[in-house]
Amino acid sequence: MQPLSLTLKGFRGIRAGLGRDVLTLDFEQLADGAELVAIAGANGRGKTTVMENMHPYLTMPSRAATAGPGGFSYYDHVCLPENEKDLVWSHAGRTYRSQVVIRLNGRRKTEAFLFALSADGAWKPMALEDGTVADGKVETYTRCVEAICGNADTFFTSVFSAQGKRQLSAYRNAEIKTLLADLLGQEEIRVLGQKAAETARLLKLGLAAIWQEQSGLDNDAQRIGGELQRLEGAAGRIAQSLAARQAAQATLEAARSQHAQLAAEREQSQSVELRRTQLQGECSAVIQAGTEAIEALKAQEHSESQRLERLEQRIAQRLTQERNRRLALHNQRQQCLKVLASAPTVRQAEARLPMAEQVLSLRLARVGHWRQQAQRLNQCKASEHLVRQRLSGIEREAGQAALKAEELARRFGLAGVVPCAGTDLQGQCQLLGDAREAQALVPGAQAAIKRLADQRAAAQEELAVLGRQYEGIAAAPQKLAWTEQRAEVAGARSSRYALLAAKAGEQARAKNAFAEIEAELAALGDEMSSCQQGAGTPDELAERQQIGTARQAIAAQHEQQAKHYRATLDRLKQVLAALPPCYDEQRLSESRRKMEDAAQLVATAEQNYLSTVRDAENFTVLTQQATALATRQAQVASRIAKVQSELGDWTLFAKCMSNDGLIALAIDDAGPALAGLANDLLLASYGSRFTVSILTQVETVKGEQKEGFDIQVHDGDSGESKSVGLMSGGERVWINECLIRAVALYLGQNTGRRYGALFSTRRMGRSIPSVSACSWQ
Amino acid sequence: MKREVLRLGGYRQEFFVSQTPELTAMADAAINLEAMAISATA
Repeated sequence: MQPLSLTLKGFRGIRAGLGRDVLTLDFEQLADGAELVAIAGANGRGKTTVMENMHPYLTMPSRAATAGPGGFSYYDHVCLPENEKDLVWSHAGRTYRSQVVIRLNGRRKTEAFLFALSADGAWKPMALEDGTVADGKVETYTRCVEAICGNADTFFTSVFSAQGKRQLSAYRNAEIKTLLADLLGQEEIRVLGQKAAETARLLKLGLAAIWQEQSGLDNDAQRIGGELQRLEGAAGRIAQSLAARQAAQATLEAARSQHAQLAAEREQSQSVELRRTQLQGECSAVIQAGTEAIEALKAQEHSESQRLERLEQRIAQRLTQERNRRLALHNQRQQCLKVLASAPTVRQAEARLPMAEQVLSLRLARVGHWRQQAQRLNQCKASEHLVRQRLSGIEREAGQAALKAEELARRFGLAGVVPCAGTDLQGQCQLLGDAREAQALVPGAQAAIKRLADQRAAAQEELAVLGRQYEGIAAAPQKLAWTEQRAEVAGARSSRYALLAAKAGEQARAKNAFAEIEAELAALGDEMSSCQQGAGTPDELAERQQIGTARQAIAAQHEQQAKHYRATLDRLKQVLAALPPCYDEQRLSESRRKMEDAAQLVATAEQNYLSTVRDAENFTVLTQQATALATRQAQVASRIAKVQSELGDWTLFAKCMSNDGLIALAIDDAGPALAGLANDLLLASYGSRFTVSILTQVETVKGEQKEGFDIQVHDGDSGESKSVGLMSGGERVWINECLIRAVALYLGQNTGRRYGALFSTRRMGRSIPSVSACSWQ
Repeated sequence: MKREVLRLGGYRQEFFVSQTPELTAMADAAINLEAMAISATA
């Protein structure tokens, strides 16, 4: 396998290291003709990512968690929605192209296409001879690539030295041998070994089933042995059980005959019992008929009693009604008498009523007259009061007029005494002027005094007239009161007489009602006489007598019936007493119980006898079964021995075909060649210091040889030999590299599978600088 | 050793990852990723 060009799109390692989403490397151009091609760059630039995609397999070896399917996923190492690895490579003279598309958009999906370059220069999908076509599915792609380049494990172990890969010395015995078996083409032997192991496993399962069968047979044999032991002597017990059965049958026969005898006696007694039952039935019938007849008579007696009771109730009800009516008539009579007692008073009132009414009218006329006089007296009093008020006013005014006249006279008198009279000063003197003014007013004052004197005289005259009128009617109020009293007395008398006169009609009605009541009371008669009558009306007496007669007839009939039924019953009881006593059923039931017990004993004896016979037969059958079982046990033991022998053979064969058998021998065969190639490489790298040898058997602490794997390294400088696992880390890296490359060389030389290029991402140790430099020379 | 392996096995090429200039200098050809980085070309 030779890579020609590589394009990576969307790989995280490239994006992080180079800042690119897409990287394309044309190896033909970059390294054409070169043997050693270094992929250089600082840490984290993506060298390992590039290197680990320079092969057509769908993995990145140093990133795979485990070898094989499912150990690696591209999804953790890409970042774009659609990512791609496009590798053009050649192998065995043909050119191929791998296109792997990893999608992260939506549902995750990986598609892998493999094309082959045809003669006309076109890429065509790869098709295998078995019909497999690389159609984009991962399975078909992987199958096509492995058909061209071989198994992925072989490829990565022999030509691809991945960083972090386990060293050969770190593998366990089974792992290293399986790996070397694959590398050495020992698959067929291993498959045979697996088949042999499978055969041995199936034989073990079959052997387990046979063992189980044997165990079942043993259990059966044990069970049958136990049964035989239990049934030992069954034939001898048959005679004993037969004798017991016959004895039980004899007992049963005796019980049956006794029971039959008792049953015959019972049959004989049945006719007597029939007669007894008949007589008892007749007794019951007589008792029932007597009871019914007596009950009928009692019912008639009861009916007559009820009839008499109803008659008594009717009489009592009638007497109660008459008593109540009589009481009511007496009450009405008393009321009539009370009304009629006031008859003379009513007649007197009727006679006096017209005169009383006339007196009343006269009294009322006088009341009217004196009421007018009283009104007049009141008017006179009011007029007198007014006149007196007016007279008082006139006198007060007259007093004032007299005072004023005196004042005017006094002022007028000053005219004669003032010194300025007749002088020039008189025109200017106020006193004189005032006196002359008073002189002019004096006549008016004198006239007013006179007018007031006239008015006073008229008022006094008016008072005198009123006094005369007053004298005539001064006693009017007393007269009015007296006449009103008299009129009231006359009115009361007249009303009383009118009320009494109005009772005249009532008196007449009471008189008539009294007459009717008297007549009705006379018709009802006296209460005492009514009570003395007792039996009531003739109808009632007749009915009472009829009821008495009927009851007497019923009593006579009752006595007669009782006597008749008593006599009949006594006669039947005498006949019953003459019959023989009852049959004892207890004896018969006792006999039946004994017979049943005997039958039960017979059944038990029969069962014992049958059981004993069955045991004897079972003993014979079990003896035959034990013989057959012993034969089968011998057969099974023979089969077990045969299967165990075969199992040993197949187990041994499987071991021969296993890693520790022929494969170990093949490794032993290849060991010198591998060691020789490794030693050639060691010689070329470090000179003659280290030589290696491969061991497939190792020595235990006891000094015994056992299957294993070890790589022994001989140091020419020190002359010591030791396991590669005990060497220093740097030395172990280089020896491991030499061994890995030796395996690839061995494969190329012996299996014909050749790869055009080698790949290494492993960091080479620096612990042996001289050796490191030497390896490049 | 690498050349001896190539010689003994008849291989055409070996690609290897180199972290040191010394090793790179010993190779016949080198693919230098440093030169392909975006920052370097820019």
